Amino acid sequence: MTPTTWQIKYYLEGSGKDRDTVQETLKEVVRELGDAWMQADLNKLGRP
Amino acid sequence: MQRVSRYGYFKVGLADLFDVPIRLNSLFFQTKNSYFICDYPLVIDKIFARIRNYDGQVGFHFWTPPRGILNLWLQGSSSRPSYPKSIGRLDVSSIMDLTLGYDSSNPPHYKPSLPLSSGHMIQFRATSKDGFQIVLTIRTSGTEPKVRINGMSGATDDTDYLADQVLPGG
Repeated sequence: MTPTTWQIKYYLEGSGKDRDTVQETLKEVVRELGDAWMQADLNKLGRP
Repeated sequence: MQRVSRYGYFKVGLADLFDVPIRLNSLFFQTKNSYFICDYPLVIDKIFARIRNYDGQVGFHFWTPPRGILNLWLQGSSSRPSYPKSIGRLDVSSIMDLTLGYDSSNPPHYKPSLPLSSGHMIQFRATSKDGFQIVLTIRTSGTEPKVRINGMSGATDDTDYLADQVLPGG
C-alpha cells in the first residue's frame, strides 16, 4: 500500500569529552539539518 | 541430502540508544534520531538533489528518482557530487552516499563497500578541532539497514534450531 506521507529519517550519533558540549552540539546539528539542509519551512516539512 | 533454508534479518535501529549523554571511558556519547514528514516524494528528491549539489556547481542535475541518479553517475560524468562541507561548528570529514554509490573515503574509485540503497541514503561524518565527532545518516522511509542471516543445513530440525538461536522471536 502506498503511503500518503513520506519520512526523511535522521540518525545522529556524537561523542566528545565534555557532556554539555555533546548535548549542545547535537542540538545545533539537528537545527541546521532542518533549517539549512532540509529547508524544512520552505519545503513545508512536518515534524513528529 | 535434503537442503533446508530459513531466512531472517535484524533491523538495525538506533532509536533507543542514548538520548542523553552517557560516559564510556573518557568520552560522552549521545544519539538523536527522528524524522521529517513530507507529503510529496518529489520534494524529497529535490531536497536530496540539493544536498548532492550544495554549491550548485555540479555539471549534471539530480532531479530524477534514485535509480536515475545512479545511472547518471555510473554513465561517467566527471563531476563529483558536492555535499555540504560543514554542519554546526563541525567540518564534514567523509561522505558515503548509498544511493549514488559514492564514498569520499575510498579513492580512487570512490565506490562504497556497502550495498546500495533503494531509496535516498547518505551518511556524513564530521569532526571539530577539539575532537568532537558525529555520524549523521539521513535516509528515506523503506531503506532500513538490515543484517541478513542465511542459514542452511541438511535437516529441518537443525535449520529450525539454528534459526531459533540467532533470529529475534525464533
